[in-house]
Amino acid sequence: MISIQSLSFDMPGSTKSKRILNDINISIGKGECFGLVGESGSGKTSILKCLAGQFQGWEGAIAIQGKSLAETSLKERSNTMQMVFQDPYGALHPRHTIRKILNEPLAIKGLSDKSERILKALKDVGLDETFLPRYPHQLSGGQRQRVAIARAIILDPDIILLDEPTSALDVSVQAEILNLLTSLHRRHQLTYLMVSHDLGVIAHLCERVAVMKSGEIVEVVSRDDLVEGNVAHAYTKVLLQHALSRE
Amino acid sequence: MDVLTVEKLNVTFRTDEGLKHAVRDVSFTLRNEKLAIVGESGSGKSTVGKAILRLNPPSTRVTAEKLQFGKTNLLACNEKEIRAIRGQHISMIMQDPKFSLNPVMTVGEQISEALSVHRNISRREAKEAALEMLKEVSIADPEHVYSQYPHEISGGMGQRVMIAMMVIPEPDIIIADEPTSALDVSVQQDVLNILTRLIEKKNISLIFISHDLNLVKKFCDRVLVMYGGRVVESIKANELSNASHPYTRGLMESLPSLKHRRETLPVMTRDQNWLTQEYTT
Ligand SMILES: Nc1ncnc2c1ncn2[C@@H]1O[C@H](COP(=O)(O)OP(=O)(O)O)[C@@H](O)[C@H]1O
Ligand SMILES: Nc1ncnc2c1ncn2[C@@H]1O[C@H](COP(=O)(O)OP(=O)(O)O)[C@@H](O)[C@H]1O
Ligand SMILES: [Mg+2]
Ligand SMILES: [Mg+2]
Repeated sequence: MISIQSLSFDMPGSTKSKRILNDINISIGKGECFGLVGESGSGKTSILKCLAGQFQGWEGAIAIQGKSLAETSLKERSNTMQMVFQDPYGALHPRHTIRKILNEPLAIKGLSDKSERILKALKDVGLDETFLPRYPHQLSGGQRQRVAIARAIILDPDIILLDEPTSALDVSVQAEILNLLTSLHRRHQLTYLMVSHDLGVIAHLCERVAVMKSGEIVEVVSRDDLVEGNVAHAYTKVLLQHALSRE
Repeated sequence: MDVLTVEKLNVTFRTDEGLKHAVRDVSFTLRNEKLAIVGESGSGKSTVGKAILRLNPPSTRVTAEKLQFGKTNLLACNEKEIRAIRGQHISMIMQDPKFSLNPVMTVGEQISEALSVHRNISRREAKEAALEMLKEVSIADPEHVYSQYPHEISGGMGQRVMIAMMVIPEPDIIIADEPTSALDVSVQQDVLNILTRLIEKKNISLIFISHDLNLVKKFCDRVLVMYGGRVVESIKANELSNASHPYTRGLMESLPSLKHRRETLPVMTRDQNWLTQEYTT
């Protein structure tokens, strides 16, 4: 579904450019939940941004459903791939109602039966039509993240890129959103690429995890390997030990 | 010995939408220990911490039956006295060190200045002591960090610098408000170890504000659980897994677990009574 080969990216700077991704290789199957974990600045979000077209000028090869990403227009990309961000407040336009926020992707695509699709997307994320006239600031953090997820699934994409989708939420709300992501994954046959700094959250949702450090993937481990402590890299051990010590 | 006693603390904010009663009848005693205040965002944790040091906005109404620090009645202190308390006896570490450090002074100058004020020593001695202090909080290259500005250092480094600043006056109490929440797990533990080492060495009592139950379970001695501005449960940290209040239990259970993965996580149903009912175990 997603194939990333020898992906490298240099961030242009005023004096010299800085390498922020170095030789990334990932292959994600259809319907898989794949995780990226690592400390801040390790390049997790940058991988998603290369996929979503927000970073241009990377080297290597990325293919989505066998088709080279370099030859896919941004508009085509949005049909197959949508992104959900960490901060649901920053990601939703503060002066737009929920109706308008959900309408926007449909309007860009020139789709009809918009009201129906909006209502369905809202229902899919556990909200109802009473939210339509409201503004983001009138919603709780969890409700805002639900709206962001509704916006991501409204065009029926195959892939959702999730960037720390629960990091800004309280644990009880995190549980609700993780449950929602689990059930959407099943009902809509989605493929997830999820980023988190929290190994517990990643392992809850993802069958496989790539551990990142300083722009590189140090290893890819399965959930089972994690649970059994079958990890090779010292940094993975630190993350794992931290997660286990707190259970 | 009781270091700090808080009885029926109430805090009300004036907002555009009217009065907001954010802290309700909070009572606790701090001994020579690491006391955690946990709860979800908005439950009133930071407001309690700030109320002790009178750091809430001026329009805020703060009342209490007792706010006793050693021999000092904090309620009766004037502005000057409370400033002296803040400078010498009770320090607060905020979540984001970058907001607490002076952006136009190098890290080292700030530490030196604090040291020369507290120890009445020369500039050269203060610099020596500041470098020593940076070493004490496990900064590998103190000379280099000394000459850097706050925006040039990482979050973990900034938090170490803040801890160094806070222990300089050798306070009796440190109130640390989510001091490691913005840090990567690989540095979190280091910062907690440094904090522990210094407070034990200098006999400082700690109020540790956090939303992270698993962290305080390991790190603290006792835990106050806040919900809707109230303390709903007070419990020994190592007994958190057997908490009696349904809110505390709900928080513990909603965390994903590596060892015992559940396909669906339990979702908490909140009870109106939690906002009013006295909970006894
Ligand atoms: N827009 C940008 N301009 C300059 N540097 C950036 C930008 N975005 C990210 N970086 C840098 O790239 C590196 C990787 O960042 P990021 O992918 O956001 O990490 P993560 O998501 O793992 O925290 C960091 O060093 C970061 O400072
Ligand atoms: N300066 C303020 N003015 C008005 N309301 C405030 C102010 N500070 C905090 N609050 C409100 O008081 C409640 C408790 O806030 P806070 O103590 O910051 O919670 P916590 O630290 O547990 O997340 C929240 O509802 C918050 O919105
Ligand atoms: Mg990121
Ligand atoms: Mg707070």
